[in-house]
Parts: sequence; structure tokens; C-alpha cells
Amino acid sequence: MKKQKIKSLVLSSYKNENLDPKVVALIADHLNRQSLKQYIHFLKSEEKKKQIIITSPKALTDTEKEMVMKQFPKKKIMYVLDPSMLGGIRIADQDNVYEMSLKQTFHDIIRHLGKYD
Amino acid sequence: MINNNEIIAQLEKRLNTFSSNPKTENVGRVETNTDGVISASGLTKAFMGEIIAFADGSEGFVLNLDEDIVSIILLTGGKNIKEGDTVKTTGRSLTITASESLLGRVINPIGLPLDGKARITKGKEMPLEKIAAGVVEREPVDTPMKTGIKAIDAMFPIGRGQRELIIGDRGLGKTAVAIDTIINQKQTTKGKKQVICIYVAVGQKQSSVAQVVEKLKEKGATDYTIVVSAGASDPASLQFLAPYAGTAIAEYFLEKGEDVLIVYDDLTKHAWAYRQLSLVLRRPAGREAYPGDIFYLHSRLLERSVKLNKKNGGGSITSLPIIETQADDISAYIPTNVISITDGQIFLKGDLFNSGIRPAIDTGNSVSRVGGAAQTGAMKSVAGKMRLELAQFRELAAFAQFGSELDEATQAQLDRGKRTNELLKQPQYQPLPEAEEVLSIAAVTNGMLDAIPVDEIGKFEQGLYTYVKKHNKKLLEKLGTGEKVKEDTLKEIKKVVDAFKKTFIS
Repeated sequence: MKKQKIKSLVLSSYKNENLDPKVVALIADHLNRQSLKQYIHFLKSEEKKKQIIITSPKALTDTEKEMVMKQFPKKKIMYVLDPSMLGGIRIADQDNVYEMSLKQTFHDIIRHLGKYD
Repeated sequence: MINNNEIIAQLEKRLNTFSSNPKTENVGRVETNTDGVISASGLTKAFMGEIIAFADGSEGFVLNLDEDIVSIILLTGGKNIKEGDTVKTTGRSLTITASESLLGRVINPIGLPLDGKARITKGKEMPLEKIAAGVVEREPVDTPMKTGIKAIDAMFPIGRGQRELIIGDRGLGKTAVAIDTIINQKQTTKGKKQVICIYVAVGQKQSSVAQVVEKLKEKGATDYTIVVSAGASDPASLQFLAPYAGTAIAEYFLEKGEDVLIVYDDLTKHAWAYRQLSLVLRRPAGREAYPGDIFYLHSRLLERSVKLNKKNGGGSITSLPIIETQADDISAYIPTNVISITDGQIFLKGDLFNSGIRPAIDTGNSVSRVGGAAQTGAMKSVAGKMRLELAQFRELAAFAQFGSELDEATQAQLDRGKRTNELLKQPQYQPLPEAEEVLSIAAVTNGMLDAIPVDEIGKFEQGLYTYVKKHNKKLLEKLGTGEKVKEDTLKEIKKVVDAFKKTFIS
């Protein structure tokens, strides 16, 4: 089956922005192994579009979480802890990652100083 | 004058900028790793030719952008890359650090040293891919690029900014012609700038490259030469990038108004490397399995050879691409492509090589389309009729094979042709200064060597140079100025040749 067809099947698997289990099961029954693999892959990337991953060195406070939710009202937000960041925040929206952390600042300083070795 | 407080304030401002902007990354996920091609999903903001960084520190560059998948060709490492690994864009396109410290060095196409010396970190980042200079920035080729090889300088002169193809079967001395040209650049012509040379080895055996480097060292040519090498054991991606890396370095010197000579040894292997990459990228294969854009691969490279006008610095890039043929077939796909792109070709032939004519230049099939304008007056005045005479000689020699009796004039023409052919023989790694070239060519084309036996011509020529250097240095100086050889100078040459003839025969 062509990619475009599978992509349109993915879009029709949703009902009110949620996956319809009956439709998904029906589609899965009619796909061969290769197409099913692609169908799952596209479903995952579709799910990723609705998701935001926030990584921070320590848990965010309720006020901070509220601020984040205001920024991304239609997205499902996942919180991840990464103490190695030392300070700051990393926001991952699909394949775009915005990072403003102490770890990254140190990396920048090291790279900058490396030029003058 | 900036005071101390201002300097400190500037430093503080700089420190703040380290964290003022969030770092934006575009990430992806490795889907497959087959034949050195990494397919990654995500990376929606990647651009063609962008460098992609892998989790294990290795790097690659984008060669295909599909709807959901980006194909990346590895530049370094990559043994540990597996499905599911994170990859990220770097925002950088392929560049090489160029500076004067590259002179005398041997590097690979990404600037890593191959000569065991320190890595060059300081310099200007030059893009590997660049659109060639436009029409308004250029000027016609008018300055000679002397090869020091009599046959080439006399009949197929090369000008600065020209692209002259060296083509022939394997083992006929294509690299030797290019190396001789590099060695000859040591002799700086009066009033002309020193030419910087770049030798790009693509898919060559490491031993061959080592031999070339050793020869350049021995002849003292390393001071103005850079060697860029992607050997036969290097990945196809590096072999594909090598000519572009060499050209990027050449452009660094071009921007400074310098004259650069670049040798691509050879573009056949470059085309093979690109074919390999294209096939593993599953691009549609065309004639001889080469991809559709194989012509553009070489045309965009050679178009970067240029002679800039004074307003743009007046520098130049002269290129000597090399193509290896199979059984003298110049009508194959890649040879015809490169012949049509370049401004002429020097065709080396197997049967000439085997009959002892070295360099084995086939004067009938070789041509220089723009170099004539760059030939010096001296060379033009003595070598003008040489090509025609040689063509007539070849035709007569073919008829003479049938053993028919020949009249005196025809026999004389045949004898002159034999001597001219003999004179054009030249040992490897011994390029000649223009004065000596003009002297011997003037002598043969004006019949001054007609009395010398054919097999003594080489010996006579060597003796003549020594004799003139000892007894009439002024004549050599006069011939070296490049000015047209007038009647009185010809008389002087005849006088010297006749005087030497007496000592030579006795």
C-alpha cells in the first residue's frame, strides 16, 4: 500500500482527536505486515505532534506547570527529570528541541575557548 | 582608544550572550543503517549538504531529502550507529579550514592531517560547494601557465584560468605531466606571481600518493603545494568530496588574488565514487549505471576554475583534471562529458608510449581551445608552424610505410618530422625553462638540427643547453623575456647552434 494511503488511514483513525479503537482494529485487520508497520510508525508520529516533552533538572512547581500549559494549550505535556542539566529547561516539540540550560551554556563556553587553544 | 572598563564591559556582554538565546536543535531518529547510508526520520529542518551529528560523535551529511526520511552519508566513524539512535542537525554545511599553513601539508577532504603533523585549526572556513564566479567577474585567459614540457608549451599552451584535461589509458604518464607542471611552478616567470599548487588524489593507492609527495619534496615543490587525498580505502563519501575540498582551498587563495593550479587525479574515480553513493541512495541509474546528474557533478566543479578581472582581485584557478580511459576510448561516457566541459585536452596514447615517445602526447587529438591567447610571443613565433608540420609528417609517414620512392622535398619533410618528434621527447621530472624550450624549438623548426642524426638529437639538445649557458647566457636571458623572436635573434641562435655543432661532431 502507498504511503499516502496509509497516512490518510491514520487521519481517519481519529475521532474527536482521540483514536477510535474500532476503526484502528478494522484497519489493522486489513493491512499486511509491512503496511501495518508503517501504519504504527505514522500513528506514533501523529501522537508525537500532540505531545510536548519538558525536561528539567528538578520537578517543576505547580505555578511553573501552569505557565507551560498556558503556552501549549492543545498539547499533552510530559515532564522528564534530568539532573545533569544542572539548571534551566529543555522543551521538545516533535523534532524541534529548544534548550536553555546551564549544561548547554558550559558546553558553549568550552567550545568558544577551544577556538583559542 | 578603548579604555580598560570598556574592554571588561565588552567581555561581560559576551559572557551574557552565552545564555541569552536558547539553543534550538532539530532532532531525528535513526531508522536504518545500510551500506554506509543512514536513513533518519524527523530532521524536518535539515537542508541538503547539512552536517548531521550522531550520538556517538560521528558525523555525516545530508544527500537526500525525502518526505519522511533523510538520507545521510557518513563522513567519519559510524560503526556504533544503530536503529533508534538520536541524530541532530548542526546548521553547518560542509566547509574546510583554509589558510597559508596548509602549504606543504597532506590532508584529507575534511581537513584532517594525513602527514602526522598537527591539525590546522586556524583559518577561514571555505564552503565545499559554491556557485562559480559569474561572467562579469571574469576576464579572458591571457597569462601563460608554463608546464615546462616542450610539447605542451609549444603546441597546446595552457593559460591561467584554463581547464585542460589530461586523458589517456593507465600507466601512460598522465600524473607525470601534472606533477611536472607542479614542479615547473618553482621557476617563477619574471613579473608573474608564484603559482600555488593543489594536488587532489581521488581513489588513488596510498603508495602512489606517498610517491608523489616524496617526489614533490625531493624537487622542493612542497613549499607551494598542498595535497588533498582521499585514498582507495577511504569511504566513497570522502572520495566524492575531495575535488570540492581542493577547490575550496584554491578559492581561499583566489580571494587573496593568487594564481592557483589544481590537479584532479582523477575524475574517473571521482565519478565512480559518486555512482556508488547514488546507487546506495537508490537514485535512478542511467547510462553505465551513473546517476542522471553525473554531468553536473563535473561541470559545477570545473566551472569554478576562473580568471578573475582586476576589480575582483585578478586571481585565477587553473585546473588539470585527469581522466583514465579504457583502450584509448575517448568516446566513453565520462571522457566525453569532461572533454566537453574543459577548454582542451592532452591525449596520451599507448602506442606512442610503447614506441618510446614520452610524454606520449597524441598531437592529432590534443587541443588547447583558449591557451593560444596566453602563449608568449617568443613561443608563438617559433612554434607556430610546428603543429602543422607534425600533422603533415604523420600523414607522409603513413604513406612512406608502403615503401614507395620519395622525392627530395618529401624525404626532407620526413627527416625534419623525425627530428621534431625526437626533440619533443622529454624525461620525467625535468621541466624546462621557457628560454631553453624556445631555443630548441627554434633550432628544430628552422632546420638547424637537420644535419644531426635522429638518435643523437637528445644528446645534442642537452649539450646545447650547457654550451649556451656557458658561452651565451645573454641569448637565454633574451629568449626568457617572452618577446617575439626576431630575425636577428634567430641568426644569433643559428650562430650558437652552428658553433656547438662543430664541438659536438668533433
